[in-house]
Amino acid sequence: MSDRHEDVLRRVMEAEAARVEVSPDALATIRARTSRRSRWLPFGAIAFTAATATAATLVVVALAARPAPDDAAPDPGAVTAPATTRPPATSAPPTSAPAAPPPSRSSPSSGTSTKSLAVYYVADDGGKPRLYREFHRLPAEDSPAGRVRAAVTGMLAQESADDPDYTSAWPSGTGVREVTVDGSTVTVDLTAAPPDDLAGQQLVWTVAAAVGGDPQVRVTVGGREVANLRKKPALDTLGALWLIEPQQGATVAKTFEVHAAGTVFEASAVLTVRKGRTVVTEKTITLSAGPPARGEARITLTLAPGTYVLELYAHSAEDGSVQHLDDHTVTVR
Amino acid sequence: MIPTAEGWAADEAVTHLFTAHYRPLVRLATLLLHDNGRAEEIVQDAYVALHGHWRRLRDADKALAYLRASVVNRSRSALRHRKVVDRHLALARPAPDAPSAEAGALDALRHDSVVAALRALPARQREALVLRYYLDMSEADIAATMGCSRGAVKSHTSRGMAALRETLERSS
Repeated sequence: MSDRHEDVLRRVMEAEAARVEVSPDALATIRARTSRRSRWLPFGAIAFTAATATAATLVVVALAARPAPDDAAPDPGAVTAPATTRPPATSAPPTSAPAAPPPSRSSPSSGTSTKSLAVYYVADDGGKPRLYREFHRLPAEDSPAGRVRAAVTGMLAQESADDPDYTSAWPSGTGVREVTVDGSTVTVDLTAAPPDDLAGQQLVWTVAAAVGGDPQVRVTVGGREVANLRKKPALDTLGALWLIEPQQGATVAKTFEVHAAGTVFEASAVLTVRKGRTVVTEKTITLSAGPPARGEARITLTLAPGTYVLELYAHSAEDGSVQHLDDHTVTVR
Repeated sequence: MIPTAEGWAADEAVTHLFTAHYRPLVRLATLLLHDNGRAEEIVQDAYVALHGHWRRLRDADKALAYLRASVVNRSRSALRHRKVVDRHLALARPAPDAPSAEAGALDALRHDSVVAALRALPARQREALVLRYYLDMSEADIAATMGCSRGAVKSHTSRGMAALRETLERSS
């Protein structure tokens, strides 16, 4: 390939790019979106006091019932009985507001209540996108399909993660039309197909947490199948380290439990507690299992009232650098 | 205190990085997407995500690498969404104008034919060419931005150039 061709290509690209002008209010648009996020946090912190308590209970129960917490996904009310459930409200035409709470509360027959559901998000783990999990209080019908619908709707809602490091692989505006649970097959009808593998896995892990086990997840768009998915191995899919509890924005009592999970070299992780730039305490945590298993650990911390950043990470086996950081801002009351 | 990149809060970081890189990033996204409006949305999404990730990045160099990778990835996803729609449009679209004999129009025609050929490439080949010839990035940086190996960058680049050869030949 000649330099002449490269020059032509360079000139064409430069000229083409030079035509592009940007809108004058772009920075204001970005600021409005980032400040909307920041403003949520204090409210989130209050709202999450109750959510944290419930989520913690669920984790304990799930762990007690599960000898191998390898996928680290507690199954709130795992369902094994075959159930075909179509939320009655969804037989109506699809709702036009995808980010709105599910319309299942309009159903008088099956009860709707607020449940703590696991929702998976994407965050960067050493340059690779990996899944992370949060528990959210979401209104859901009392059925497997109702829980799936609520969790997936929560996952698709724009910027719904409490941790600002977590994002979604799904484009904004994607909505849930209908959910059917038939044995271990879950069919989710969406307004758009998953844009990539990662989005598919984000969906599958969220669905699996809602129904329990390792379901087959059929994704349809307007009834036409666009993907048929299963969970991929945790090792290649989940973030290497999760700071499970406390969650981002949580308010905790002065003595509280830190729950960590992950797959790291020699099962060894570090928890650093910072207040501003000051390191308050640093603890080495040994997880219950090393690679390839996903180990867990719980430690108890006692801190004076205030706002802290809890940083969970591991040191690289090669050069000792910080890896797999997951950090949450927590208020101790 | 001197405001080093490390000392920036997320809001400051976004403001500084916006001033320095917003327009070039929109241009990058436009070359990848050929859709100026969507390109701006994608770059704005990348800045909002950067704001969320700032505590992890804490470094202006890493931030630019993050923004570029984010724009490349988001553009690729947007293209995948658009592919189906485009296929329908392609059927309805009239054939491109026959080359005009007017000398003045010739440069523009050449330009458009190269742009059209670039647009017709598979996404990853276009990414490799744009990162190399528009941003003058090294092979290693391109590999990191595209999330693939240097070998893959080499093959995307050479395939892309091979596909463009005929058009470029006519234009040089």
